[in-house]
Amino acid sequence: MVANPYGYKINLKIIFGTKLVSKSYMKVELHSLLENLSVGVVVHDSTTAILFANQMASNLLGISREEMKGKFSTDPSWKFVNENGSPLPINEFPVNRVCISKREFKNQILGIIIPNQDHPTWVLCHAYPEFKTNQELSQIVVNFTDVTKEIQLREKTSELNALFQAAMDQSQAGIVIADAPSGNIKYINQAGRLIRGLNQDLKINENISHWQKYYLNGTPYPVNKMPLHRAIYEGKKSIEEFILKSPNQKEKVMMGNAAPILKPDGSIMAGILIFLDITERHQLEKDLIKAREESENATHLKSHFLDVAAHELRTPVTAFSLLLQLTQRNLDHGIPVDSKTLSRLNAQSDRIAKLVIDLLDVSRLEHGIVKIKLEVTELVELITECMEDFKLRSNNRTIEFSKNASTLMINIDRVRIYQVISNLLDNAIKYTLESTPIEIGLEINPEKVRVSVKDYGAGISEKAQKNLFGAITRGTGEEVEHTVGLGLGLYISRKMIELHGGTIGIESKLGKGSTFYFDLPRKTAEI
Amino acid sequence: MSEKKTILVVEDDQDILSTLKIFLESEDYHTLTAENGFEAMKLMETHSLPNLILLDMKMPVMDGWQFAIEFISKHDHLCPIVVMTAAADAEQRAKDISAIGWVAKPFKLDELLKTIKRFEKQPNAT
Repeated sequence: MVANPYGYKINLKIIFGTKLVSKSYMKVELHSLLENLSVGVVVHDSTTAILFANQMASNLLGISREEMKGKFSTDPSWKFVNENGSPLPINEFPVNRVCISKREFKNQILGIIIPNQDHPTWVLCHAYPEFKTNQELSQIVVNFTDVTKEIQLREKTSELNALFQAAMDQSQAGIVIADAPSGNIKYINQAGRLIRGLNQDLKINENISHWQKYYLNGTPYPVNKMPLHRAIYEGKKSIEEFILKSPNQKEKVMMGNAAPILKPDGSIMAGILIFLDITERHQLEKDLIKAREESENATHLKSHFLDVAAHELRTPVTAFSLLLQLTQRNLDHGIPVDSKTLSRLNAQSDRIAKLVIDLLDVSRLEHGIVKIKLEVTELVELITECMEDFKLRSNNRTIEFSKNASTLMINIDRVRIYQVISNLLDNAIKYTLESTPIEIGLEINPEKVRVSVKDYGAGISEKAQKNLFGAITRGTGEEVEHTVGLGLGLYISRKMIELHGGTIGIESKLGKGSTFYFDLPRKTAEI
Repeated sequence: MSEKKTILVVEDDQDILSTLKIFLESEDYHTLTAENGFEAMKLMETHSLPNLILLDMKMPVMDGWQFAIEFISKHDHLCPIVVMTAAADAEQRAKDISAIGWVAKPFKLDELLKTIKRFEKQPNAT
């Protein structure tokens, strides 16, 4: 305690805290010290009337020291607010708290309302009682420090934090922050939890290595290649699309942006991954690509079909044209046209006509306008008729017919089924050596009837088999060129058999020959 | 009297094959005919190399591509091959098998003759 020029005692320890001040210094400089303090000091008597206030107190309270002197804490001119901005009740004034409780009261933040000032002056208050020797309250010392800037900064920070929190929580993108170097997840926002399939309230206890990711082609990311891992351990930023598989969740396609979070010294303190669920967009893109490819393919196939059609027609037209040219030359040299040449011309003309009909058939089948006319037919007889016809046409090629019934009445389009058997026999004869036999089979069982044509030719590769029955759905390039002769007939055959509710197929091995067959259901087809 | 030049015609269409045979013989060529690549390879086992081969591409048993591969691997490029093709891009077909020339079906006999005369290997040439 030191005496002061104003005639009352001040406990400097209260004003300056625990800081030690030498007594000589106190005596000389006390007045100057009090006046130059950045802390407001107000001394009240036991009735709360103000005995003393320093200059800073006057500044902070917005009232002159003369006006303050003798003013009670209950004076209605005092306007204080608490931290939430509501008026501070009079019994919560620091001086009144001490006056009532007789105990010191520390760290109260309050706002001083000063007329014509647009914001409160925020101060941090400490209030202390001083007692007489008989323990009677003698004085109350209140000191207060201007913390307006700190409070305003705290408010701003708080607003910003709230904004960030809201932004993080309401973001459609998942946000994950993982600690470096542990890789432990420190924060994941709501969208992230949702995408990851985590309970919203569940405490995070995951490491980034638990997040199994897959490349878009389905192969798993090695742990050290995962975007967040690379951000934390290599400091690398990356934007990547990947597949995220979560427990009990469907696979999701993500667009992820990972980056390291750096300390001021440049070292990595964490990594952040922002990821968006782009499953729908990805699917849409895939569908669009597929649709475009299909469209391009369709265009290509149509154009290819025209090529195939032109190609198919060129050979008989060439034969026809060469026969005519030769006949013309002969006539020019006085050699008459012989009947053999005319027969040949006739045959080539028939061939061209058949091809044109086939092409028309293909076109009509593609447009779905071909109808079959079912009639009761004896199938064994039909096959025999077709076989005999081919024997004649192929210079008595060996064609055998084996069957497990002597007769079968069946409801079919006689012309179309004859056409199918002809196509299969024609191919077998055309594409195998004359010395090899051809075997026709008829197999009747309770569910279906199978007609097969087996040859001992070169066989057809599995790859070529896949496209064998498509008209314009075949591959491109040499493969088409090689199989083109088979194409239209087999496509037409497939369509005709399908119109009967049946199926057509091939069993073939390279070097072992081929068996083409078609199955007709007995229930619908048989009488 | 000069020796007749030989043309090997490999073509599966019998009308084309026989017409070409008659025509070429009327033009004083000797002809060998085969209905597919396999037959043609067999013929080459018993005959000396022709002065030119007229080769169809799409044939059963052994097609033009297979024949060209086997023939060239056995006889190198000692015999010029002229492709007769119904493909849209006849020139490309010829390039595919390293043939010296091509005629696109349907063709005129005069046109074929010109092509043969342009590419045929002379009897004494090596």
